[in-house]
Amino acid sequence: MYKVGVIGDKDSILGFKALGMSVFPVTSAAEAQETIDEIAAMQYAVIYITEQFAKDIVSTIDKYKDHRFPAIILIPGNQGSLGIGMMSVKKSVERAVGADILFKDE
Amino acid sequence: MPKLKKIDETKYVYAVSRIRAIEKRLLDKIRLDRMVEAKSADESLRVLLEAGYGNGDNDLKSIFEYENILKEEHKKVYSLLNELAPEQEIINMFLLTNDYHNVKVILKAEFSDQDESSLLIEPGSIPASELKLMIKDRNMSKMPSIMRKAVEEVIDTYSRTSDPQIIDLILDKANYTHMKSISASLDNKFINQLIVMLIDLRNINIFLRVKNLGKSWDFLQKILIRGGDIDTKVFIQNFDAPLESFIEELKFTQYGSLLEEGIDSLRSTGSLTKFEKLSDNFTTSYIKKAKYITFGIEPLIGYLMAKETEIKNARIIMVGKINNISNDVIRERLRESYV
Repeated sequence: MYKVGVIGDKDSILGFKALGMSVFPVTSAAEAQETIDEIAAMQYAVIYITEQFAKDIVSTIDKYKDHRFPAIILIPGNQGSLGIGMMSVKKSVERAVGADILFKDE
Repeated sequence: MPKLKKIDETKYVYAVSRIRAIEKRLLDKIRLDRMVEAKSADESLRVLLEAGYGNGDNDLKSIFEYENILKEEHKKVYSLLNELAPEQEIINMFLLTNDYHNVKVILKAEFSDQDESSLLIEPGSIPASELKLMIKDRNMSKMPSIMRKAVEEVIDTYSRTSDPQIIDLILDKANYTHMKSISASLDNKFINQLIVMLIDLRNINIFLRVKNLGKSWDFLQKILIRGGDIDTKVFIQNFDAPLESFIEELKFTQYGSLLEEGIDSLRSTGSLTKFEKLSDNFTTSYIKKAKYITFGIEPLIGYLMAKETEIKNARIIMVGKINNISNDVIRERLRESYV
């Protein structure tokens, strides 16, 4: 069975554990990068990562863009959103559908 | 009625003198304030290290080590008291909470097939590794009977219901019942009253939470702990009534003002944060009596609980600082300190 992993600072992500996801608390971008590479090779279909760490390891995340698994999704941490998570959803939609069908009014 | 065990105060002369000396190192309000006012989590941690936390080496690789530092400090307190206390079984009574935590962790790990070792708390009155073996082999003859019965009940109920919540419900209750049964065998008013108070506060907390969750009254009845000053009937009878009647009923007990303030905040914020803080402060102000007792076990217990509160405060500040919580919010959550 495929699993869902969550990467971020401990206080932001611990709650996901109650939902049955695997949480990987990290304290630095380097650690986050290692964790992604490590769990991407395992049975993780979806990996959530907080924007705070994602912004520093864009190239690592991009590496998995063309893979079927895992899908790496950016989520806001407990310090609020940086907006890059939504940006990447927008980009993915554009890529899949060919047009921006989500945010065209903005 | 079995003869109550009297505590021989003269045996505590040395222990109390030592405690009085180290008590001075507890974080006072000024130090806590400095931690809160610090510009960064790093600076807060430094204040903690200055106060004697950690192992004296001030070169920390990362602020996240604070968790280990606090854990170590916790261990230090208990090993100091174990070394000082002439009668260990009484100090052990305060270790039961760790034991029950460990039992929970071990059982949950077994039921969910996970590794638990990082979540176990040392020290317990029974070492965690022994507990683990006893539970694994289902050989619990050496466990205290209250604990053994609770573990058996959990194993039995869980196998029928697969409901993980019952693990906490059964063991939390057993924890208090166990403490009560030890305190009941002691001829010591300070400890007896303390345990009764802890049970009352716990029951009030249970009552408010169950009410908040909209669970049924027979659920409440099952988890209320017996042995407090407030009869469990009071909770059950007031369960379906508005909170006012509950406050009214307990108005003239020692918990009157605590309840009024706590419930006020529950109403406006929907959370029990304030009530829990007030409960802790309530306990601290009781424990402070130990400062005026010259010889006996009381100052040791006072120190132990003071230290627990201190570690809790340090954790609140560190977590707050790391997550950029405003100083006012941190201060709002801090518990009153013993010194």
